[in-house]
This record gives sequence, structure tokens and C-alpha cells, in this order.
Amino acid sequence: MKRGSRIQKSLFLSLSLAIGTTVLLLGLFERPSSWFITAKNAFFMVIMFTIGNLTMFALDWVRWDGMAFLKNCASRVLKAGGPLHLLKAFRWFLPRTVREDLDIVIADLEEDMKEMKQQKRSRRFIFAVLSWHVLRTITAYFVDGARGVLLKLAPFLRYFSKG
Amino acid sequence: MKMPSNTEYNLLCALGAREISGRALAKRYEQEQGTDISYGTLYTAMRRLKEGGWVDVREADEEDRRVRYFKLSAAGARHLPDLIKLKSTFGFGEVTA
Repeated sequence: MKRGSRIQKSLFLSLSLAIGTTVLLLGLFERPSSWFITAKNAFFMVIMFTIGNLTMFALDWVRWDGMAFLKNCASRVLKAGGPLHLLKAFRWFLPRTVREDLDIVIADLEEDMKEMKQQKRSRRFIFAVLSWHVLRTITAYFVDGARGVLLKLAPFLRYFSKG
Repeated sequence: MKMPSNTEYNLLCALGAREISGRALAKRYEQEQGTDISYGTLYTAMRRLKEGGWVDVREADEEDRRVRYFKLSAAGARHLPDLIKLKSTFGFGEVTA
């Protein structure tokens, strides 16, 4: 539902409540008649409709204001070069030789970031591209490390499998 | 010399005769292969190729950042045609030094 329909909703809500209150007051001060029973049923329908409308209104608020809040938070959290900080943190868990590799990777990614900024790419786009590269870089170093461990263990495994 | 993996082989083919930086190599690889390569994969593969004696590596400082340049080594240039022939025939094997 569009945001512009809020005014329509609040108008409808006020109208429903006004009609409902009138019918209720008439019921209190007038004798019940056939038209009154019809009006009473209509009133309950209006009440139900109002509850539904209020629920929609609340959901709408959650949807629009909640989304605005999340977007605001995201824009504060989303720094274009954010993923590079992750890579900079990750490098401390690695041996010195690999750290030097990662320094060069970070420098290259920073250069890519500059290029994307010159191309007027959005912050989210840059963030997504860098995240993708950082994720793949970290995976590559994990795989490389695991490969190294397996290669070192291979002679032992061969020896034990023979025995 | 050890037989390089598929990625390493593609990188060797993309390397060419001239010295090239890692970033430029990644771009050339993307152009030639049609798929991109992460810097992590590139640098780990190039490290293995260096250990295997296929490439020579040089590091330089450029505008407040370090750049790593790669070049096909003399032995690598000598064995690359054999490797290409071997790869096209079998797809695996050991290149004798």
C-alpha cells in the first residue's frame, strides 16, 4: 500500500468513528426499532472495519517507518570501504608472508574502489563488489592454507595407510 | 618443474612476455577467460608459480602503495610451449626441467 493513502485512511477512520458514535448515541436515547437494529449491525461492521483499518495502519507504519529506520541504520553502517577493514583484521591471523600478500591485495582493492568512485557508482554497489572480492580472497587463503596442511600431512598419511 | 593447475596455467597464458602488475593481470585474465579472478586466488596462484620457478616477482612502491609485478621467468618461457603442447594433448603431466 502506498504511503499517500494514509490521509485517505485517517479520513475514513474519523468518518467511521463519527457514524458509529452517532448510531450508538441514538441507540441509547431512542427506542429500538427495525432501522435501529439495521444501524446497530452496520455499526458493528464499521467497528470491525475500523479494527481492520487500524491494524493495516499499524502494519503500514511498521513497514514504512521501520524500513526508513533500517535504511538509516544501514546507511550509517554501510561504508564503501567497510569490507577492506575486515580484510585488514583478517591479515593479523595469517603468517607474515601471507600478510604481505594481503597488503598488496588491499592496495589493489583500494585502487578498484577509487576507480568505482570515479565512475560514480553508488556506495551500496561498491560495498557489494568489495564484499564479494574480500569473501573470495579470504576463501582463497583458507583453501591455500588447508592445501598446505594436507600436503604436509600427506607423507604421514601414506606411511600410516601402508602400515 | 611441477605441472600447474588450470587456474595457474590460464594465468601463465595471460601473463605474456612483458612484466605486468597483479591488478593488470587480473583484468587481462578477465578479458581473456571471460570470468573474473579474485586477488586472493591470483596472488596465491602466482606464489605457487614463483615457488615452481615459472615466474619472477618484483615489488615496487608506487604512489604510496606497493605493487607486485610478475614476469615469466627464463625457465618458464622455455617450458611454456612444452606445457601448452602437453596440456592440449593430455591435460596433465610433469614438465622435465
